[in-house]
Formats: sequence, structure tokens, C-alpha cells
Amino acid sequence: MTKHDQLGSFELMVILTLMRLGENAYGVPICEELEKRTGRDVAIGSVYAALERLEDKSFVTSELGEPTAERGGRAKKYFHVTARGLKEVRETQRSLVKLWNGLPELQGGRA
Amino acid sequence: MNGNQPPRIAKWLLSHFGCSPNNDAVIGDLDERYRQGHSRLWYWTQVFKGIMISLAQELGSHKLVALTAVITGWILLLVGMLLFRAVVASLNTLVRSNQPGNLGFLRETLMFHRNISLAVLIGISCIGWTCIGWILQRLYRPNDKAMVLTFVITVVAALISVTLAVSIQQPIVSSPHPQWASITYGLVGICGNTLGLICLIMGAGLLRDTRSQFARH
Repeated sequence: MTKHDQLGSFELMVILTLMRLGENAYGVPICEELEKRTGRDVAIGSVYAALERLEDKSFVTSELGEPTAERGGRAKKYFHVTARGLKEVRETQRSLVKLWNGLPELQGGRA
Repeated sequence: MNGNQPPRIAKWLLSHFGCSPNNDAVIGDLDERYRQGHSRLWYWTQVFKGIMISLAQELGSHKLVALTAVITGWILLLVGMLLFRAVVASLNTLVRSNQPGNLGFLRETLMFHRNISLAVLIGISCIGWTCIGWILQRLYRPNDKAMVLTFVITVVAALISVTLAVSIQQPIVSSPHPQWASITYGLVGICGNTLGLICLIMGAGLLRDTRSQFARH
């Protein structure tokens, strides 16, 4: 696997959010979920930038929904995690768990 | 719920200068979130971030193309400036000469109606800038928006630095207020070049309505 195919930290957050949201994963709920889970403001532009990178790596696919009036007649774009994306998330999880395990600074939830 | 319409200018800016292939979805999402109760400042911030992030993303994935676009733009600009100087020199020669007939009439017109000469020069300049934008847009599809914006940013940076340097270091000594005269001269230069850059952006088709294109995809 090349460096280009690895998941960045924000990309990992976005892909985990897509997995949580399932079928209803488009820009607005993705941002809301990310803000709720991380407690930080998220720029819609940065979410789409991450989604475009994930799509380039074939970790995510997208499809257009129907245009709605509340969106000024613009269509929603739904995103789904691919099998390749899921495999990459599992590998990242394994690597991170191995790195986290046994670190005294992270034992018992201390900062 | 926020029943108001989102800020029009901000929305216009994003729809014309946002470089993301998902620009239409981004605008739709912003509208939806704005109507859920976010402020106008929030909308403007999101638009500004959206444009900058999408531009950075395009440049990051096409570094070499961006470099060649900037170099091509500057070559075109330098060639245009040389042609412009040649036109100005020809007009000066015409004004100073004693040409009879039609050319003589043109000379008289240019001499006695200086505004016409100025309008001709501004017109030629605008056509030049428009052509540069058009050529860049043709050469750098499908990333033309990001490439044209990058070139515009380099031109703006260069113009600001040069204008400031010239107006601060070389005050117009013939004026009773040399420093102010230089600053005014610099501001006129900036306004002229801003007009040129607007022509460049128009030539590149960035001010065209993009709704119909997105609707097709």
C-alpha cells in the first residue's frame, strides 16, 4: 500500500461518520455528526475535500439524490463506504490499537 | 428554523469561485444548514473556507499543472504588455506626425479628444486580459477554474508589491504633495489592473452561470 492510499486522521473521522450514518450520509448530517462527536466546528468545504480524497482512493462512492426546495433546488450527494474502504478502516484500527496498547500515559483515561 | 435567504453575494462567490467538483452539493448543504438557524457570518465564513480549501485541494493534486499554468499566464501577460507598449508607441508616433488624409483625421481625433485615446487604450488592455483568461481556460480544462484563480492570485500579489514599492520609493516630485500624488497614481494603477483582472476572469468564463452544468451531472 502506498502512502497515497492510507487514511489521514480527518479522513478516518469522516469515513467512521459515514459508517455511523449508513444510508443517510450526505453533507449536512455528516457535518452535524462530526461536530457532535468531536465537539468542534467543521467546515463543509473541508468535509467535501476529505470525501473527494476518499473517493479518489476508492474508499467511498457517491450518488446524487433528488433536488429539494430547502436546498435552493440543489440535489443532495450521498456517500457510501466501499468494501475497500472498510478493509482500510479495519487495518488502520489494528495499527492504532497496537500503537495505543501499553502506553502508560493513556492508562485510566488520564491526560 | 431560519426562513431568510442565504447571503446572495456569498452564494454567488462560492458558485463562481468554488473549485470543488461537488460545488453544487456544497452550496445546497450550506443553504440547508443556514435555514436551520446559522448566522450570516457563519455562512460567509463557510463560503470563504470552502473556496480556499477547494482551491488548495485542486492545487495539491495538480501541482505541476498549476506551476505550468502560472508560467503560461505570465508569459502571455508579458507578451501582451510588449504588444500594448507597441500600440502606445504607434499612437504617440501618429499624434506627433503630420499625416494627411484618414490618418490625419485619426491624429486630430486622438489629439483633441484625449478621452478617446484613453478609452482606446483601456479597451485594448481589457481585450488583452480577456484573451489571457480565455487561453488559460482552454489550456487547463478541466481544472481551469483553480488554475485561473492561482494565476490571478500571483498577479494580484505582484501588482500590490510593485505598486506599493514604486509609490513609496519614488514620490512624484513635480506635485505639491509628492507622497499623496504617488499614492493616488498607485491607486489608479490598482483600479486599472483590477478592471484587467475582472476581464481575465470573464474571459476564463468564471462569471458564467454554472447551475445548468451542475444540473446535468
